[in-house]
Amino acid sequence: MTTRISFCLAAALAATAAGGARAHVTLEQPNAFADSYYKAVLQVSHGCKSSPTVAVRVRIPEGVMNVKPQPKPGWTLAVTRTKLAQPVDAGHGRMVSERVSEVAWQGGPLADDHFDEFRMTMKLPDRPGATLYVPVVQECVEGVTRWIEVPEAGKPAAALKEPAPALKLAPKP
Amino acid sequence: MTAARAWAAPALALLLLACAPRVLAHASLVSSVPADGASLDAAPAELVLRFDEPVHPVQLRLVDATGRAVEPRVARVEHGALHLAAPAGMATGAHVLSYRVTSSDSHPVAGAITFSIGAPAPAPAARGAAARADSGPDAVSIALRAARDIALLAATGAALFVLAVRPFPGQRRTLAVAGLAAALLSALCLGWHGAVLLGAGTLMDARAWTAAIDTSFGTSTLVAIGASAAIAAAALAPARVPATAALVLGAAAGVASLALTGHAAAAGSRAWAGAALAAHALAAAFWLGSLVALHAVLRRDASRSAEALWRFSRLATGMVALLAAAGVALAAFQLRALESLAATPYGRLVLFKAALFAALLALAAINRFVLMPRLAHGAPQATRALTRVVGLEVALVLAVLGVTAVLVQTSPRGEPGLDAPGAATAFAAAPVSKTLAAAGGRTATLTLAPARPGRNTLAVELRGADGRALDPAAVDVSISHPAAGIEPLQRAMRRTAAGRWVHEGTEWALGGTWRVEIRARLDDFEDARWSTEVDVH
Repeated sequence: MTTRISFCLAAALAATAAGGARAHVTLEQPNAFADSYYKAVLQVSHGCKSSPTVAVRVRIPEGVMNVKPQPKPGWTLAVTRTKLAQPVDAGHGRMVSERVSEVAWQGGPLADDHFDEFRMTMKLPDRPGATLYVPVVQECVEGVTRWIEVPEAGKPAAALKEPAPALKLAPKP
Repeated sequence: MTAARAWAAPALALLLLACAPRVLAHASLVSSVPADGASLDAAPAELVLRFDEPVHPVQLRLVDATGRAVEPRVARVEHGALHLAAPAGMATGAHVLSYRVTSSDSHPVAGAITFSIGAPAPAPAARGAAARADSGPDAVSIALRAARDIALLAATGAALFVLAVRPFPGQRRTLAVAGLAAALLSALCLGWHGAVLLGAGTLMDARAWTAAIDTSFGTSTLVAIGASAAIAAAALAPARVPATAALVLGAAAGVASLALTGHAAAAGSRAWAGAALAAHALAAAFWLGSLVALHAVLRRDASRSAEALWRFSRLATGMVALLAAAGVALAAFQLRALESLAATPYGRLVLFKAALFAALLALAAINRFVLMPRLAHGAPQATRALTRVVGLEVALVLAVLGVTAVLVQTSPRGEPGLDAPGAATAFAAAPVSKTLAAAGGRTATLTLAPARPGRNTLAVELRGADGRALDPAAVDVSISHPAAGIEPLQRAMRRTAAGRWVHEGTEWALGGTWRVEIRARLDDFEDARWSTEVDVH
């Protein structure tokens, strides 16, 4: 219990620190436990240079399984699956041979001064300490913004102009 | 329990804070007057930067091609539009308007636009050189360079021989003639280099000389002129002590000047390549100078030649090993892949040079293992045979230096980097060329030509970890000049062939160190980035 509270506290602190003045497309909760289920909430708070958003496409990082996107009224949902090199146990003894590698919501348009969230649940890999980057392509009526930048080793993510939403994995309590 | 409750309140507050939606947005530049990259007939009265939301100006800077920076006055702010009063008397040529503003979330947003007044200045340097680059280096350049290198190596090498082995008959005349010839030919090379850069074809234009002096070849040539002059002065000086000092200085500077120029000196790790080049030049100079000196000893002072030969021979073995090792290292560094040896003109020249060098080694071996023992036993015809072989060696060395003169003026990168007509290639002016590594072993070889203020062509060659050309969907470049306060200018590059992208433009408005960041979009969700600094002057 203590670990969970201190983890939440650390998570909250980290999130606050990272939150600051970041605009960007971000994950509502940038911290999660490794090897557990997680609800990813992608927040889209503006368009591309004030142009309304018409598509949000997400690449699912390697090792993330059981992805289930939430349908949204006014948006069509498309899921791309790729074959796995070898079948893996998806829990409850169920073996799967493919995984969701890309999720796309198309529709809107979501005006620049409106806000929306795009959700999916997923099973995170058992890699405590790792940071997963979830690259997102935001397509607009005019232009595209690619939230796909990943910080170089040893450099702060804050310096990036269009960072990929990041998810830090903590050891399971 | 009490402790837990004491923690709960701040924890909850923080969690709420953390989970509050972050709906803040950065401002971004939507348009500008003049538009980014525009060419204007006359100076504008007003400059407008239009953002997608209200902004507060923090720093504005208008830099012209001479590097003069002014802060334009903010006339009025309308929503997201900053109206700036254009300063009076704006010069023709390129201008960079750099901005730093804050948006409503107080996040600083920075960037820059460029525009030019009057017809965009053509780049005579780039175009003149490009025309020549297509047909390889011109014959005058090659002949001048070969003659200069021979004279400089002979002067430097003869000085080294005098210092390290022994004086030789007629050394004063040899040193004086070689030194003066090297100084004169160096000066001619410099002027011709400038004429080629400007596409002028005449040495009479003062601009050609100043342009050439500004390049890396200019620096090394000035050192060479100093070195040759010092050697000639040493030969002509009546007193012994200052003569020796001038000789040491001249020999050292001669070697240094050869290490300061060329593709090898410009390649990625300059210090490493410079050291290899210096070693290569030192050994080559010693060899050529020694041959000249030995020839003189054999012809005029045969009785004492055996002793000089043995001393030379001891030094020469080490020098030849150094020469070959440094040569192989430099070639490997330039070519990187074994198949480029046969596939590129540069590689074939390296092979040809290696073959000539092998023949030279064979002759040296005959000298060392056949003729010198005979000479030591007093065989009378040995001196004559040795004189002939040394003469043949000199001829071969001259051939090697001729090949070298072509080599140093051929791009190691194989075919010209660009296929756009009129675009500068790696051969232009004093182009900057660097190979950068990114995550995943991907490399970008970046060439900026002519690397002087004004219009420049930036070319990149992208390769994957397997050495194959990388063929991304799009490549962007961002350039900034932190010292001059110019914020990043974003430009899309144009694809010319698989893995080759170019951008030609006048963004490089002033000299100094520019930061360049290349970003290649490998697919929708992944990009590769390389960044470096490039000197423009």
